[in-house]
Amino acid sequence: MEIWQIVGLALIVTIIGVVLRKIQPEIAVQLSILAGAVIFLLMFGKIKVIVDLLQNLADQANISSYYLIIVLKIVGISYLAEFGAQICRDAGEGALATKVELAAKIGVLVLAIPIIVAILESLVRLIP
Amino acid sequence: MQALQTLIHNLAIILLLATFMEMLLPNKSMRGYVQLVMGLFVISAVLNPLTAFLKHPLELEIPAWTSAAPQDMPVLAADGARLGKDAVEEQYRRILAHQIRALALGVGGVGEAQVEISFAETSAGLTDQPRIVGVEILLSPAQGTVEPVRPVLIGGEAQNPKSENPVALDVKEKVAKLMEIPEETIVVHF
Repeated sequence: MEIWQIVGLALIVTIIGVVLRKIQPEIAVQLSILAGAVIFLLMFGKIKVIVDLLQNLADQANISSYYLIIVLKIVGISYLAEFGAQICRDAGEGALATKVELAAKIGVLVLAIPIIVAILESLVRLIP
Repeated sequence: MQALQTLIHNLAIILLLATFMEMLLPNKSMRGYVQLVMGLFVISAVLNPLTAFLKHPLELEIPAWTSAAPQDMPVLAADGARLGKDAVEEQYRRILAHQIRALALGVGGVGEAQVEISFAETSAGLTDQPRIVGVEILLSPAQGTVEPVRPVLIGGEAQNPKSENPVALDVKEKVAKLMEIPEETIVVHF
């Protein structure tokens, strides 16, 4: 899907959402979630192309796929958290959005723990 | 000279990847986390040749790169693609097994741990993450610790004694949480 189609869809949903928000705010939030999910799914194919490109690049350079997988997971977590947090903010739940972001940050740190442990172990062995 | 060339080549690619990953991030608040992981990646990449240069070679548990390229393997054999995939899977298996072993040894009362990991048979690409279908951890008690006597149940329901042990349960829970592996796929023997 081209960018102008996505912008068009977003503008239409925004206008409908603004009108709906005055009449039925709960439907406006649902419409916003639906539009967000549709745009994300439409871009999914392109995201896969980027991920494949990165994997090929790492593969050609003999770089460990373990690091790449972890960094890609971090990017995925941050996108999902951003998506959820923005929806919460749009619905007026700022506190909930902050909690989603906190959960994402903790999730990312948990992902990095194995690498931190491995490097610390190596450093301890190197400098006893 | 060859080692220096490889180091510079791989560092350039790692830094290129780091920049690209930062561009992909949705907000600035997550930038630091990607920078942390990529920084560790660079440390790992530099540490190995540096220790070799200092005549004190150090085998990293999570190597930044492998010496044999999976894409080189098809030249060696007719079914090279499968061999390449197996090599990547084996490397990933070793890294995971070491991480799980380190986590298990961090639990009090565990002296030694052996980890066996099995992956699902998939038709994924060379660098795709294999799906874990089973993790088997064999724990040995630390020297000097006395295993507490299990309560004797008379007439009660027969239970699996291996799953009763609190240390085994602790290891299972820790591994499931930190490695993001479903708890039902982990089997711990103590």
